[in-house]
Amino acid sequence: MNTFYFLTLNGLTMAALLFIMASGLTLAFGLMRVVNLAHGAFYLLGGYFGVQVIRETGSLTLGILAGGGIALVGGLLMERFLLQRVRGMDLSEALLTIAVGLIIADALLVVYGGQPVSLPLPPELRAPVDLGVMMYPYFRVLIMGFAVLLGIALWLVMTYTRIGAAIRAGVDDRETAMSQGINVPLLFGGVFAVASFLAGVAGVVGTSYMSLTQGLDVRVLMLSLVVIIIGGMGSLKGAAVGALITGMVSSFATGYLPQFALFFLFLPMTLILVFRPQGLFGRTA
Amino acid sequence: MKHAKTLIIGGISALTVGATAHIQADDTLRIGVIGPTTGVFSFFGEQQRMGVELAQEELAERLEALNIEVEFYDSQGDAETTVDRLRAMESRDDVDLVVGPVLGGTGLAGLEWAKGSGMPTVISYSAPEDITMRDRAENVVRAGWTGAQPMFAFGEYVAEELGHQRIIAVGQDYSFPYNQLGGFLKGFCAAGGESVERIWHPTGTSDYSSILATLPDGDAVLYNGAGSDGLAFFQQYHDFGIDARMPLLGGSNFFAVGDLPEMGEQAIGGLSALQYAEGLESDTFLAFRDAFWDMHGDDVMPLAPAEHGYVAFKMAVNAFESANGGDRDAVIAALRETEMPDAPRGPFHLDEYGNPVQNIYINEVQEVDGRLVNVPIKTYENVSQFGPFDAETYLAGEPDSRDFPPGDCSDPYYD
Repeated sequence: MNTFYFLTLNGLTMAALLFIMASGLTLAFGLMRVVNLAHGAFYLLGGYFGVQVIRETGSLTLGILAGGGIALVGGLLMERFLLQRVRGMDLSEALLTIAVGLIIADALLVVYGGQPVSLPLPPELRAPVDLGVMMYPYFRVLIMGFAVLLGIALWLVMTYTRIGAAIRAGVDDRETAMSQGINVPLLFGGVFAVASFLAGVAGVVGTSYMSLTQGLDVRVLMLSLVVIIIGGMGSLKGAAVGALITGMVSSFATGYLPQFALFFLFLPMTLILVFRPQGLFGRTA
Repeated sequence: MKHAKTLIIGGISALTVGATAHIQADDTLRIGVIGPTTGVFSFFGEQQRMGVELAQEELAERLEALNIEVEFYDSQGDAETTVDRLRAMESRDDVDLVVGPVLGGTGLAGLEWAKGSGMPTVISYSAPEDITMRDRAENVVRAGWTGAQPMFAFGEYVAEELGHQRIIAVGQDYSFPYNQLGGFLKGFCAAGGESVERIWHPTGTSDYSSILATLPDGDAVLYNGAGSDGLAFFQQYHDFGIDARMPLLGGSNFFAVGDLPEMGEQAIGGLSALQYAEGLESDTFLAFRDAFWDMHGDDVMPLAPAEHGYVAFKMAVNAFESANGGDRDAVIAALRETEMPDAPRGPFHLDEYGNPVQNIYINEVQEVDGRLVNVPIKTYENVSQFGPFDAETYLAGEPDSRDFPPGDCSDPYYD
């Protein structure tokens, strides 16, 4: 039984991290139909920079904010100066984001080298805490708590604020929203920046247990895409459910059949694409 | 736009002129050194480069006397690029001998090419055993090791000295860890071990929590992997406090190449086995290490890939010297006769298949002068790539694979 709780908690930790990554990505997609394939590179960028800041200042909070901050700046620059030039051209947009991702990853390789990096966490964060069913490392509990808070915050914003209403309107029907005077491109810039910020934050947070390395950007991006494909592009609820499914499947599959972990990871996505291509909570285009 | 076009065309023609201006005199001997000096695996290639540069400096007079030139090539850690570079060495740059490649896959690609070309080749760190076993070629020798070579001794040590009976082996799912575990099992079972349970995970796994959750009980865990996978496994193993239940042993690369500073103090006491240890205290080793630090600064520790590059280069120069020039057959014959009584890692000679017969050290991670190093605590002398077996028996058996040799030591295979 202990193993069951252990695997469940592992799944939840992974789901938390995936949700942080996928929530911004899916909203940005919903608004402008742009899949940001540089999202994983922002994870890497935030991670490397955040860890460096933590090493130099000793402050975890500062590191997380710095990691998120640099990704936010990167996202903002990319949206303002690059994406806007190719607006509406699907292929160019996708290729552009791939290019930016590659450039960021290669630049990081030059600056930080190819050796894997780990996050120096204070021992009290690494210590296990009693969750009633079993002992579990404190920082992993914090990651889950953070994701839940983020989910609630995003939900509140989306449900009760004018900006949230505007985003929902833009996701549902961009043309009509624009004709009502909502500045969707500006809104998109904001959402894109927040999404990049979250990717940067995830980079620092994730490094607490996954070592940061070249190539992780692609793996993280792939997982985020799996999440939003399962959940439905543009849906916050979908991102949460997709992250839960992906996290759990991955955890139990790695636990019992590690050789087939990747197979099981992509199985739910494949099934969704066959039987419900728009995703669990997505709308048909 | 027009301006940019002019620039590009100008640049390309400049490059072409530069390349063709590489004039070649015929009495020059050329050594091409290949390794990944950019990209994800640049750590290994850089180590090799630094080792070769040190050897170059030490042998400067002999290099001049023999008129030897050295050129470095970047494999980018990629098999295809490796072969491209090797072809360029032969057809464009008139290279007489190759040192490298460094990584497993590039080593096999290099071997295939060398078989066709006949180029004298000294493979440095690359460890697939078939390079000097089932696919061996007359013109290819090795300065380094096979994956199984250090693990025969480690298996024996773990069973005999540590008294562990049941081992849980977690590892990256590809041929190098198979080979490492194969060597381990053969030594472990012969020395009275009971069983090894294998768990393979895809390379590039970053979350091990679920593997750790379902980890069976045993006397110790052996992790076969390195790089970011190894670092993540190490960290999560300690996060979940499994180190209190079962000690963590390392495959040869786990503590030995690069991750140690990131692992931190928790790594102290970690055991693994290799034909090299940066904590050696012999005079030849200390001289090598100090010279290395003088040249490259003492924040870089010379690790096995550096020493193997250094030694491979010396083997090459020795061979040119005894062959009295660049005649291929003579150089190859001289290479195969290599004896290195004073290599930094300890004395070695090549067996008739072209792989070193050398010391294997059981290493323990200790803190020495404020840095973590692998210190040898036991030495097994004169270990060949076949471990305790004779070559014919070994080669008659199957190559190691995902589930061979059997994990149960009572299996008839071990009788």
